[in-house]
Amino acid sequence: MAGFDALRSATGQDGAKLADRHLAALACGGNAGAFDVLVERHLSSIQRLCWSMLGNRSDAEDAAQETFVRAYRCLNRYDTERTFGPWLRGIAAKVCLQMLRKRGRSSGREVSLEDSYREPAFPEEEEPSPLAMEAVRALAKLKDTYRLPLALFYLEEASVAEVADALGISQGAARVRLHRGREQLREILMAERETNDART
Amino acid sequence: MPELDCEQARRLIHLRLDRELGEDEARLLEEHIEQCEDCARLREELDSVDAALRAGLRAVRLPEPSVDAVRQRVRRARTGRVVWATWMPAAAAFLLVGLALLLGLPGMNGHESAHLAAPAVVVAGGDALHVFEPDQKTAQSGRIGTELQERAVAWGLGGDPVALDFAGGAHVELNDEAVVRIGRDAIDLFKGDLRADLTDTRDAFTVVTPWGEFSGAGVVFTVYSNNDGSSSRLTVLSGEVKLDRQGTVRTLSAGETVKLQPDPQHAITL
Repeated sequence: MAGFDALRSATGQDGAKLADRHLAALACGGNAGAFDVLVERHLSSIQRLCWSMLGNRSDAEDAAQETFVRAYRCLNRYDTERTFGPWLRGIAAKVCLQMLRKRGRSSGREVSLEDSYREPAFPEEEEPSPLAMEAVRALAKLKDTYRLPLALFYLEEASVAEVADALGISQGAARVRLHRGREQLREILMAERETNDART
Repeated sequence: MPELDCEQARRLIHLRLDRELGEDEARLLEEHIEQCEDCARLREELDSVDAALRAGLRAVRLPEPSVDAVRQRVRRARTGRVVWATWMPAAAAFLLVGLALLLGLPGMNGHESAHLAAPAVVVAGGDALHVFEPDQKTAQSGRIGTELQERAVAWGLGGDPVALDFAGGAHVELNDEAVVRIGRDAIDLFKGDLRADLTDTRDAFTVVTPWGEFSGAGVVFTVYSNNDGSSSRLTVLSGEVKLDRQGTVRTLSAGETVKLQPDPQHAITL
């Protein structure tokens, strides 16, 4: 891991052993190796989060990269008393929201993400249940208003407060969106189940 | 505690999935569900949705993300280099000006080639910019290639970071909270954050802020301010920056950071 090596040579410290907040403080002071370690540590989960919010790989990669660029630029605003992960996810959520707005502006209509959600391959040995796969597809059918809070909540095990924080809405609004989104998923999945039952 | 009706039970079922249900509420919910088949079915269905979505999202396998790609992009941001695509419109504008000069088109002469007519042009994040030109009564949306006249006021709209190129070679990046006024070889920063890359400047470029005046040529520095403007931090990344504050001038070298309070002598108004 290049980041760990760079940090070790620059500071004499093993990046793998440093907490995120210490690495962030080092990076804020200009230590590039420290920020590289944060990238190595969080990129995978941020990219996954972006994918769940945007629905396709290339946008997710772009959004994840942009997330880290913005995080780097505003590191001085990161409060080291807070956990780094949720702070970073908040930035990712804002990046994704902006991309979705632009996408809406450019196309002039709501973009269907259903097909995009089918892009990723499931590992054969870990193939989830048909209902789990249907749930992911059903998620893609929801409006952004409901899809984004659900993606944050389930993918990142975020709390309602963290979802609200990331999306810049009140906790009450986040809770309502989670409840309504979950209800809509239930309706979609139950309707599909009825259709399947009728076929068999 | 009173018994629940079905609507209240539905809300508690969701709160349970939100991991926000208290013990008393959980007990009430159980009591209701024991007596209500509809709510028992609803809970079962919502439980299965909850479990399926969690399992489905976790099982999705994405391609291994490219750590190197992120590093490169962060490094580009750090060194102030913007990807070629975002420079294309500005580069095209410069090429056109150059061609016009070579062809001797009317209105172009050697004297004017020393600097652009407008002191600054937007080279990145134009969609996120609002511009108030001095002779206009309403603000306009900016875009890449928008020329900013002297005394134009610009501010971010909460979108992408904005980058401006000045005729004298200064490259200035602004965050989405920045409010600035354009000058010749100068910029007033009222609020927000700014990164000045003056690597290619011949003459000194000045950033005027409520916390002091920062100037230099061939230097790179950042100005970060807190939201209420009560303090700011100047960091010199390369070269030497002159800091004019409270009537005294001092020089800061690369690697130095100073935290500044508002300077009454540099109070600036829109």
